[in-house]
Amino acid sequence: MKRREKIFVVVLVVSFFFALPCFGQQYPSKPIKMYCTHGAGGDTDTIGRMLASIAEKKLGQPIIVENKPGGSGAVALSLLSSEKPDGYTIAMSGTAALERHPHVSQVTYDPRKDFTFIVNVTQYVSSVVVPTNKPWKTFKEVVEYARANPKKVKYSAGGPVEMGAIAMAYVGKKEGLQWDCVPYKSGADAVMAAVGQHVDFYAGGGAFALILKLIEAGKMRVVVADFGPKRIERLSNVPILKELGYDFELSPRMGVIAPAGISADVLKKLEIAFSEASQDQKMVDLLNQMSLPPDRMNSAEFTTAVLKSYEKTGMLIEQMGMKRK
Amino acid sequence: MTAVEEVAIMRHLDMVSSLFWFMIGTVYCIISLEYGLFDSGMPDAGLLPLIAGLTLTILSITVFINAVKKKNENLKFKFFPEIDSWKKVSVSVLALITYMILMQHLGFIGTTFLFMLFLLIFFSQPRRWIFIIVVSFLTVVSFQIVLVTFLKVQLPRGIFGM
Amino acid sequence: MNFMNNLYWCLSIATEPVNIFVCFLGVFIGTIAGVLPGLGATTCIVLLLPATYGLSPTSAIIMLAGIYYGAMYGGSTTSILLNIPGEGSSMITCLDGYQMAKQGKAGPALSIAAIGSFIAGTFSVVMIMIIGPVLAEVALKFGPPEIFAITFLGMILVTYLGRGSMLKGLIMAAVGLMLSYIGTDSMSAKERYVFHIISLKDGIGFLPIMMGLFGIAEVLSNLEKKFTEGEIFKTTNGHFLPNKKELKDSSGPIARGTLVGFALGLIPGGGGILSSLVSYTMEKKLSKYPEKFGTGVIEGVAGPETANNAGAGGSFVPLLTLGFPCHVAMAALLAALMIHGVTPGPLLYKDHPDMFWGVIGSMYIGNVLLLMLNLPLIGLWVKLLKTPYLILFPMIFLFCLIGSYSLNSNIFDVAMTVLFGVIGYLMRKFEYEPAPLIMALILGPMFEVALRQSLIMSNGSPLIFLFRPISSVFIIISCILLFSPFLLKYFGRRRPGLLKEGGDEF
Repeated sequence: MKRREKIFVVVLVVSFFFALPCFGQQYPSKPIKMYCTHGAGGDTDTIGRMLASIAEKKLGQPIIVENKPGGSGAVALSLLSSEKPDGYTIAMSGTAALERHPHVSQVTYDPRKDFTFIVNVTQYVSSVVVPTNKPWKTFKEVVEYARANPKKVKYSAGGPVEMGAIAMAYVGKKEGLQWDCVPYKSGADAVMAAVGQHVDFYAGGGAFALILKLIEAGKMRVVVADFGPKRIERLSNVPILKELGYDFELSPRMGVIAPAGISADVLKKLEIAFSEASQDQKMVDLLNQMSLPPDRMNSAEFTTAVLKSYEKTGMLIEQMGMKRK
Repeated sequence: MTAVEEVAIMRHLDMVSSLFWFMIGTVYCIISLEYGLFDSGMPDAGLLPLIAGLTLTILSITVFINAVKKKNENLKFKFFPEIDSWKKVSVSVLALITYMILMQHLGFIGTTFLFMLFLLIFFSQPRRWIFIIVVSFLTVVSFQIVLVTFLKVQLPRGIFGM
Repeated sequence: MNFMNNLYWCLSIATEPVNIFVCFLGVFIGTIAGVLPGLGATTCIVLLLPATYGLSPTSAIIMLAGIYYGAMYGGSTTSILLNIPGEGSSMITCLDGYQMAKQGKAGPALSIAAIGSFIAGTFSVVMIMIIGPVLAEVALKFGPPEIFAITFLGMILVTYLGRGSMLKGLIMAAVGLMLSYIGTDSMSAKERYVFHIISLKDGIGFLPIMMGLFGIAEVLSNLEKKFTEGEIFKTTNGHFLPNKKELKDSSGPIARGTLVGFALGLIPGGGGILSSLVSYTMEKKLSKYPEKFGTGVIEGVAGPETANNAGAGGSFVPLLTLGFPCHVAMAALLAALMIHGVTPGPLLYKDHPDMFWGVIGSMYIGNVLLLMLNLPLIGLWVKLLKTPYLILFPMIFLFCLIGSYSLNSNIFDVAMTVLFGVIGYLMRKFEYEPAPLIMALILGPMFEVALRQSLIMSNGSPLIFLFRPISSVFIIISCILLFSPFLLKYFGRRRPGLLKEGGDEF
């Protein structure tokens, strides 16, 4: 009988050890994958990697960043929306792919249903800048010039439905102007086109760090700083689009998202970790260098902001006549 | 191969390839029309594709005509220089496709090892098993060290976590 | 600017022991990245960025910049040895470089590439030092009409690339153009030929196609021939360095390539590939035996390799003098700078002079190090070539497959590589050459976008190209080249080698 009892004890102990992992399986218990909507070296990637390196210490598990560029975020978001909502796959995403692109092209995800928004980290500052040798000192002057010279004024933007293109199309319609957008492949290229005077001004959300440097060097003058709800600290004497009389309040953002259906406590853990990470000094310094203002939002605020933006952007794009679907 | 034979082969080959390009060009042009040619006086998304497609179509007709004009002598042509070469090529292509599919499930290390193993086995005569296994193993190890460890490239991890 | 003063300053920063060490590390890694097809400088820069956190900003950038031009040197290695371009701009080197390798002259080809690259690199650093800001202003003057005119010229030059029938070369170019339009149109946001496949939204990258058409197709073709465990490549003649004649023949192409390459490198996005294209066609036209191009002439390696390295130096100009990244790798460097607390702009040389001059100085050092690194490596590469093809060919396959995967971690790219490998193999059978296709694939988008942007600027009038001085010059050159075969035909003189089979074949 002693032998049988011994065996029984051994089996009990062994099965206890096997069962143990199933208990206190605290999240996170294995590395977390973070997709990045854009390629290596870009803004989203740079911020994402820095954020991941800080947040992983708080979560206690490594966060591995995987770039999945394509379709300005469509590829990464598509992949994300079909991943398990267990908190082990998240993404660093610019909100353009959530708020703008679904209106313009066919995507496999629905920003209203397929994602959980965890935290927002920053926003892109949109601006309107003119080369210094142009006589205009305020946006009103540009508008008046365009009104007096139809079909003459051209502005550059980082793409056909970028912030700049949308905003200026809106202004153009409201003021009855005939001006044209020359789309470029990226914000930086578009800004350079304005510096080289191939166009009359640049409007949009990209390359703000570059723009600030150009302003500092005296090559450009800024007439509008931000299309969002409030003025930018660095350029506090420059009006926002809203103040100039246009009912326009959109800011492209960048934050951390996950597939829809995450459990509440996993969400809480992620929210806390990334929230703290975005307030870390290293992050603040980096954002400062990149001239991206912090725009911290928790999950609830982020969700509201994105959904509101989605609806508003949809209406504007429809007005521009560029809506697909 | 004599010059005459060469020309005859070229003639057949050219006729086949030009017909192929003709079909591609035509289909491409038809689809391009859907994207719109002009948008308030400016070229729209479909214009340049249409021009490219038309260019291809016209060029393919030219090649076809040139091919027909060549003096013909009905000679058989050898598409594959060696008897078994089509087998070798198809097996390699199959191996490539299999690698592609397995890579995501089995992970980089496993798939690469199997790939090397397979190709070495198929292509070597006589088969020296130890040699084959060692070479496959070394290949995998060296790729792993250079790419993953040294350069930190992201390679897929399969079900074994490799 | 006081040249000697600046020279002293930049060398004194660059020759600090730390900086020499990191420079060496950078160029070494860059060389490997360049040799491995698909793996680019950009990815390496980003992935190795965390490793630079402990360094001073200057040292960090020296290392990362070293990766970039190391990759430029390394790219020619696989082009010559395996007919797989390591970087996009090295594609032209494949044309004659690989043929030279097959004839046992891999050593001279590799060393001429290294020597030419060194001369070009040094030249561009000197130019940056002397007239850097001026160059930046010049680069700014290139707007859409100018870019259109240059790519138009490029498209015409593409037809001179092949050895065979010009008609087939044109077909390849047309196909390349057609492939380039797959994806989302960047001007109207419409999707073309995408058919709801997400991975096609950004089009098919040229790197997977290139690796398929050059790398995999080449191997598949070679597999047809009998090989037991012997080699595909002839044993080398033993000498790795070019002989006197080869050096003499290369001197002209190197000189011309340097100038052309540097000038074109200033164009945003044009840089490497255009430089090498123009250099190759220029050498072909100037040569006494143009028909030999494509069979392994040293001029076909010396010119383009020099040109693309000179172009690479030019890519740094907009970043250092304006803060504008004109190339993906430059964008990665920009991010690296920001993480280290420096945001470049037009005043970089004032705010952070040690970084500005340090980077420039390290480019001198980097070029020297690369020459010292690459020449001895040639012996190694040539020995590697002697590996039995049985072992070599699966590894080439792996290079290509893994190389494509490493681009976007997307299996779709690998699928494209395999697909185009098969297509390339068939193309070779039907006597079509891949080079014009790739060239058109790369130039196509630039061409279309520049055209449409220019037309928006001019409200639809095509005259804009002739009203602006720079673009009109290029348009006129293009037209001359375009109509020259006709003109020559009418005026009698026969130029051998540009037409394949005389008479009715154009």
